[in-house]
Amino acid sequence: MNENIIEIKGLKKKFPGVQALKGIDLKIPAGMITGIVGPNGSGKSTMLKIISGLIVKDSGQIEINRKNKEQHLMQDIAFLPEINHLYKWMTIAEMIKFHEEQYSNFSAAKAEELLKFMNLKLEQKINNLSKGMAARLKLVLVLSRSTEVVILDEPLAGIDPASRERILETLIGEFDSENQTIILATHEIIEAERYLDHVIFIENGELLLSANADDLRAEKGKSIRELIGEVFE
Amino acid sequence: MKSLISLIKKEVRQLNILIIVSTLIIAAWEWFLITRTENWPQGLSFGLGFIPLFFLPLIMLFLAYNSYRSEWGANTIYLLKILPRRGYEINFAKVFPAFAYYLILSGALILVNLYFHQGFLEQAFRQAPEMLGREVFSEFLLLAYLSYLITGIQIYLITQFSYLVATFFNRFRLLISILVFILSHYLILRIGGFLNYLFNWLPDFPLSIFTETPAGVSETTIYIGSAPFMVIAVIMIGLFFLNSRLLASDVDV
Repeated sequence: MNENIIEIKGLKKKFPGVQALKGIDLKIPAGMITGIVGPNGSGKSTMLKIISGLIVKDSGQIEINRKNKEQHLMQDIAFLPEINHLYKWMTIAEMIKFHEEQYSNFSAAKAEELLKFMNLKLEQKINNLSKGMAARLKLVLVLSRSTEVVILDEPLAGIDPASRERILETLIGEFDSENQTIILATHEIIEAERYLDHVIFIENGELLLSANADDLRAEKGKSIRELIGEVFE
Repeated sequence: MKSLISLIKKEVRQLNILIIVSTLIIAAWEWFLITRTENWPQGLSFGLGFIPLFFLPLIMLFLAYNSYRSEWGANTIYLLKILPRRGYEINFAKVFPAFAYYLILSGALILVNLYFHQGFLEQAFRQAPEMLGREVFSEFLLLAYLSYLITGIQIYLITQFSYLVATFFNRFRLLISILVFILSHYLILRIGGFLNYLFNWLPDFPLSIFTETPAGVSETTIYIGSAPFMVIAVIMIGLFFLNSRLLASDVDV
């Protein structure tokens, strides 16, 4: 694996009336858990959606493992969006089968194992799942794939504390730092901070800071949470 | 292939209710007409039996508009767009079940109508000049059915295109869809006119016409150009790939 799994140069995106990304240059290190933090509307989700192919960039370049984004099929990236994007008329078993048929790197056995840990049952209908349960299911589906990059957009948003802890435990438990990189955009920095190896601060579509989390803590003598409070005040 | 079949199966399941309800309504209508054959004037129930054919293109329009609107509405467009599938595979999975539904239901409706009104048709053929037989009737029926199928697929693809173009805008999406839908038809007519010259070398479909005059029955051969059929096929294939490209690479979610 290369030193940097993702390299972004001059990434710009404009939505009607707002410049969401103003030419971001960024390197995301491989084999680490990178946290992207910033206030609402800072451009975190937009950047992750562009990396995942959900949004078209206006200009700039994205390289994933030294390949242009355009050369990548979504087989190599597992993306978990903030919203519930699953077919509500399906059962969990049907959704797992659908993923197994769509992704060659999806393991149904691993999914079933994770489901047990997450207290979910195969026969449950997605429509009947609570927000926390749906978030856990989305994570199961993402973590059941062997991909180089796992992108999680607010996986803890609106989830009860017990589910949050379970989600983070699972995430760390399944993380394979030899072959994987996790990029996590979150507001829930209190819970997530201890797991982050690298942090990126974004505000108003601009990169404020990109640094190793331990180095940053040592240099500033503060936790990431406190630094965020200072930077975004 | 397995992934494509899985996508198609998902689409069929999403269409389940519409397929069942529309099939039941059409079946009930046909059954009602069949029971009326004895009581109503000859040919009336036969003619009325084709009425659902006018509604099927409207159902295609609805299916096409809803094909991606439902995905956007339920946020499942995220799931579709992050699949490791090409745009044309995702779009094919949408188009194929809808077209199969249109083909099977319209074909079945015509066959049922012909089967249950054989007596009426026999009588009609007997009254017509001897040479104006089943063969000519079949040729006309086949060409008309081919045009009907093209109309259905054309409506579907243009509606889908209109919706995808509207997703580039944040407001007035329905209005934009309608405008694009109307303009697309106009453009297809204009572009089709030019493309027609490219396919003029294709042999035309010969069709014999029999005219009854006091002097007897005279036979004339008319030719239906095959170029327009080819042009519309080319435009539809182009539109299919354009829709696929818009979905995969151009629209934001």
